[in-house]
Amino acid sequence: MDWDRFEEEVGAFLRDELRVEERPGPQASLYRSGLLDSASLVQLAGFLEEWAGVSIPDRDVKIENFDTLHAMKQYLRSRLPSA
Amino acid sequence: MPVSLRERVELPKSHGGQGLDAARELAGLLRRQCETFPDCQPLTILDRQHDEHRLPLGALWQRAREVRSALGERGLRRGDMVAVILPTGFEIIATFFGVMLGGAVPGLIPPPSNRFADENIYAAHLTSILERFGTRFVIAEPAVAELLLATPALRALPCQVLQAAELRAAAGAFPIVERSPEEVVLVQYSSGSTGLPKGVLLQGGAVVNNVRATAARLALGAADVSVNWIPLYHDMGLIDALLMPLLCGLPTVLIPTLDFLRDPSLWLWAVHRYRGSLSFAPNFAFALCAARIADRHLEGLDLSSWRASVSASEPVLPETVDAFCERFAPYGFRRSALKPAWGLAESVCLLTGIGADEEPRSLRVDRDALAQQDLARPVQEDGVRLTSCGRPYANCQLEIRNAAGTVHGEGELGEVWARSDCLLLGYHGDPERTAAILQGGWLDTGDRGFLHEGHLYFVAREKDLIVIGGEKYAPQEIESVLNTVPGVRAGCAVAFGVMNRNRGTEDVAVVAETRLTGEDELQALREAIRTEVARHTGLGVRHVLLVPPGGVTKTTSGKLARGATEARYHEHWA
Repeated sequence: MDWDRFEEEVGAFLRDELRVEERPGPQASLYRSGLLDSASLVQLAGFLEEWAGVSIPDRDVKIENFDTLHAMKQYLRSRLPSA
Repeated sequence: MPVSLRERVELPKSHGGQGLDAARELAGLLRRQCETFPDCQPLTILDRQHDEHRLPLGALWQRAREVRSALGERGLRRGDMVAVILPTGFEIIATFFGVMLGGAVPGLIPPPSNRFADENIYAAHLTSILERFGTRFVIAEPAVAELLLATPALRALPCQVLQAAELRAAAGAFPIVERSPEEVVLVQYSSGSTGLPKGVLLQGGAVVNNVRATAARLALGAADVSVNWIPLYHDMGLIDALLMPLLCGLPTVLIPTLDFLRDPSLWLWAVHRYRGSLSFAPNFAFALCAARIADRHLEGLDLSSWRASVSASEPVLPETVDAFCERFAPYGFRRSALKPAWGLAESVCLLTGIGADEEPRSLRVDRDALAQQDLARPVQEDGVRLTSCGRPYANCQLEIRNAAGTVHGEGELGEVWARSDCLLLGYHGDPERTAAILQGGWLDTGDRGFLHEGHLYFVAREKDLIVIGGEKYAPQEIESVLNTVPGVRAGCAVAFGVMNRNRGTEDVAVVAETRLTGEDELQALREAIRTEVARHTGLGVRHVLLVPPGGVTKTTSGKLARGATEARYHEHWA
């Protein structure tokens, strides 16, 4: 896990596995803008779980936590055990 | 402890379908299976952490009887409606049977975690369902039980909210209620145009008849192993993924639905590990697996044991069939293993399908003849390519009728009507709607299609329902949300489904009238629409088209014309 590569690696997952053609900026909305559907959001959560090595409970898989790259990063950091 | 999915295991051999032939009724048959084969381990649950849990029939039977007694102590009566809201696992199965053993009528409802809906909206929606169906007990996972208990409107209802863990009592304290095949044993909730679901009442005999017909068409035998992720609140989940293997005595592996959606390869690896042969899933799942699993996740996968992977509950696209078969052929998947089928909750579940040795077939028909003359005229090239849903089961007759009720011949498009010994008894508390769909022993399925060489080809739905990933949604559910979004002209917004052939399922499209004109305002409104629809229904809106007043087509009597509006802007979702 390398936070400096976060945008790049999530971007690659969105492009290669979820077929999102546009490359979103950190604050760009993925779900509210219609780029992702709810099934894709769940799949993205699966990817992030593996990427960050944290567990993401089903109840946390919601728009607030995954709509933008920035929100995802913040959420994942909150799930990491505190140093 | 997590298991290795690459490692092959043999699940304990089944007892080979004994009893199903002579059985007439669901609860009694299950009882006999559990009492005769208590050590058989037919149920395995596998989750995304690769944790594996197995349960012997004897333990399931013991737990079901505890639930029955605990509900008996709380005043459960024969015929009571009981809502069960639990995740895929042993408790939902034991609870479902425990309710049935008390002579009551269980109905499975999705937990909120399967959607992104706001919890309070979920609680309000659930409360209206419980009130409408006169539900006397809700058995829910802890978070949902707490949510419901904190909902004032629900506390006012004569309905007890219980957690599964509370249901502890001596297994034999209350008797098992004997049922006749004619008695209603379960209710399926199916999407209704009022925003509230319809309660499809099913008799024990009808359920057994449907299971027997599906098992016969697929030539199920003692060597079969069922592997599924489809949610149990879905008709195909409850009937074909759970009850059919249990009643036929086949091992069944269940994967929690969200775990499959997070990692679709889990389904394929479970087939590999357990040498799975039998599955049921909607078209989108085949498209998802074909398009969205990287090759590196498939190294060493062996799908050669899969012999009946049934695709039903949403249109089966020929390109999805081709894509799945081509993608997984190198891993041993045979084309004859993909089995398109068709059915509906009102007939318990499936009514048509192809045989054990048949490959999926498709037919090209002339586009204009189909659209303008209701004729399916086969052509060699171009045209519309449709997948056959197979032939009617032995216990099912189909008729294609026109609006006046005249029966059509082969190749003529019309309304699909079905007669069978597995039709619903009726909709709970709704005699008018029951009379509208059940006429002279025939069921109006609400689908349009035609017969060709004995095979049913589905063409479209009569009713404006949106089907996403095999789950049905009424457009009115979405439209009632649109009407509350500031900026949308109330009563002038429509929602409908448009097929996304890449995803293999429908997307939601919305056309809404607005007086706003500035691009920033319009963009903000599009986002507000997506946010509110997701909050209320859990659905993502793919296409939002904002139009000036008059842009939504209405009928002469002022009703929303969804189909005409969809066609008017077809280039936006082509």
